[in-house]
Amino acid sequence: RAHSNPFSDHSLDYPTSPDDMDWTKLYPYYKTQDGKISKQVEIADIGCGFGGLTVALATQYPESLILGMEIRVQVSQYVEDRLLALRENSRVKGEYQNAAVIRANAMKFLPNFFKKGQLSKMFFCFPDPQFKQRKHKARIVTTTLLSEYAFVLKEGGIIYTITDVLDLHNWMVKHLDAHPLFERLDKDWEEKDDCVKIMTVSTEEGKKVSRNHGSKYIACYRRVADPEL
Amino acid sequence: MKHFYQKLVTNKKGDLLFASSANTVLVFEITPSGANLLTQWTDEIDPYFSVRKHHREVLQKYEDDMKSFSKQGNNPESKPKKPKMPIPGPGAPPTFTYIRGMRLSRNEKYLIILTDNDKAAVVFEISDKRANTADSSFSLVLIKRQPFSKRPSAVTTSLDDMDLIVSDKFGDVFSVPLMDKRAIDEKTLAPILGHVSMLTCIDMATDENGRQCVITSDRDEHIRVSYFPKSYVIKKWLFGHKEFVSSFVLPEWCSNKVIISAGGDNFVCSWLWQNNPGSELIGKVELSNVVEKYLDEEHLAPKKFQNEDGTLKEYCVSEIIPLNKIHKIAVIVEQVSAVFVLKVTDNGSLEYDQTIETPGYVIYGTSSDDTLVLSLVDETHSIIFYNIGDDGGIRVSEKQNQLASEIEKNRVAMDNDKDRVPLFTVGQLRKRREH
Repeated sequence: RAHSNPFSDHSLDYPTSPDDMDWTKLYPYYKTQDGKISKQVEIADIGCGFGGLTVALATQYPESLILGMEIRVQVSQYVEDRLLALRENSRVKGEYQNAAVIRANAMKFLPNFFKKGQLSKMFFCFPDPQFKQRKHKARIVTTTLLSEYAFVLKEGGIIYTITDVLDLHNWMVKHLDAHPLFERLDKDWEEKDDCVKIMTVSTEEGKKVSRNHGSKYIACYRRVADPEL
Repeated sequence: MKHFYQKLVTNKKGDLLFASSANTVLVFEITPSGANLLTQWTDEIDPYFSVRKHHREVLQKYEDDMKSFSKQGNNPESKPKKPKMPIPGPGAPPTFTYIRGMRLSRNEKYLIILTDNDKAAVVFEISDKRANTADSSFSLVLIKRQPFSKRPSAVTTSLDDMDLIVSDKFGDVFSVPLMDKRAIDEKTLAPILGHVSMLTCIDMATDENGRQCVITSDRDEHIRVSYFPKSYVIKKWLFGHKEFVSSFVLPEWCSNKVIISAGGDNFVCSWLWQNNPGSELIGKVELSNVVEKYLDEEHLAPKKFQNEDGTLKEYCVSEIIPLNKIHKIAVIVEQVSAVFVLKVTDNGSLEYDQTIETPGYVIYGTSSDDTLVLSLVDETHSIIFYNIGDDGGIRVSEKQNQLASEIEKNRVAMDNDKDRVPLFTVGQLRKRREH
């Protein structure tokens, strides 16, 4: 299925709070002797789909833990199998051990997973366009949800967005522009940034768009400091 | 046949009682000798208000489409269809005109109610000239009817009472000026914050640095604290509930530091919400051992989610009422003929105190310093006044009969049982997780 309703009551597994999350199950390679995790997740690929970007980021940032989040159960299962196979077949010690996937509804439960300022990068690649007017609240980037993304992002952290739907691109830009905790990064920055390159070519959706000679619209934003309250 | 009281609010002094029965708000004066009806207001809005409004909009679109259709030359296939008025047919779920929320502004000068039909918050100024011997009138002066695009679920006011803060069932929160008589077009209103979950309760408080915060609870176990008015900056979440949160309060005697919350869980939580992240939850009281004997067949889980023996019962807390004088809270459990009283110390520790049995299911309640007032499902005792004694005791008022008779008498009449508005809806918030 291409869609999943983010408002319905899925039977999801999520921790009661970030402190209750056992990350060692997802990243056993980073489990310390006392059963804790030696690193925190720093990069989140929201709606990771078939995991193309998650996989590519794993080798690009071998020192960071990367988490793909996907709401569709079969798709997240596929990515899990894919990552396990990559870990097993890798000849480089520890390769792909820093990437994992979890079935989750990021729109509802992101703060259950991540603490304040934990993330340095969040990716929103080819999200569901939710074309219908009355479905717009189901879009992954809205002004109200951006406050939650701003909470889990550290100051200076980056939100990456890419889509082949111009209307959705304009929507995301409008909402991000309107949010006081984000400022847009310019074209120069985009051209120099490795992640922009990777997300343009690595995701399954991105490849499909390229095959169909579609356009890709990119917008990246930096989390700025909280204002005086 | 008469309707019960689904919402009650009293002022701090306890000499005014606002009670809503179906679509009517009644205001009673509470005196040592009994209760007198001061004024009442009935919501006369058309039960099909939303349907008609939507129909007007699609009809307008149809007329515009017809204009361009006749200009274009006539391809009969693209001729727009005239929309019908979608009045629900027989068997459709009933619609009600009723008051689903009610509270006073902090200065007790305004009464705010939430209506179901037109999804509005209605603001009244309380004009109380009883002290003035020449006039001695009491009235509710309608200030405005502020519509929202989604059904409001809870309401509060900013700490200075300048802003009306309303949460809706879609998860968004809106802020509009309280006293301004002009309602704002709901289509132009932008939310000040939002959850991706139905919001259930909202309040404001100042944090440890004296900054104003808005606190919201939702159906996804979350209690969120955001700053106000810059509510795009989130302060924190309070984690610990396993089921929906229906209600929370900030007891006055804990000077802003403590939140008590409950809902679909079998426990009540207390939080020192200003503590370091992760260490806020400080008290938890299990209710099952005291609640269980009051549960009946109404609490059996639906068939699909029932256990093999068919004995699984579910209950939930619908409301928490602070009792300021004795530093306790009264907890209302849905469809139970009792309220459960817990002690709350200044630093938020929580302890079971006593159970007060009632002649019928408790619907709602309110308290002033000296009284606790409960509304019940009971034909002869639809309202009960309790005195809160200096010794901490909670006893039915000696004046119960004098106080209740006038209030019983003024309950709104209804033709048959089907006209009764939904009284117990909180249990429906329980999530039934599928696929």
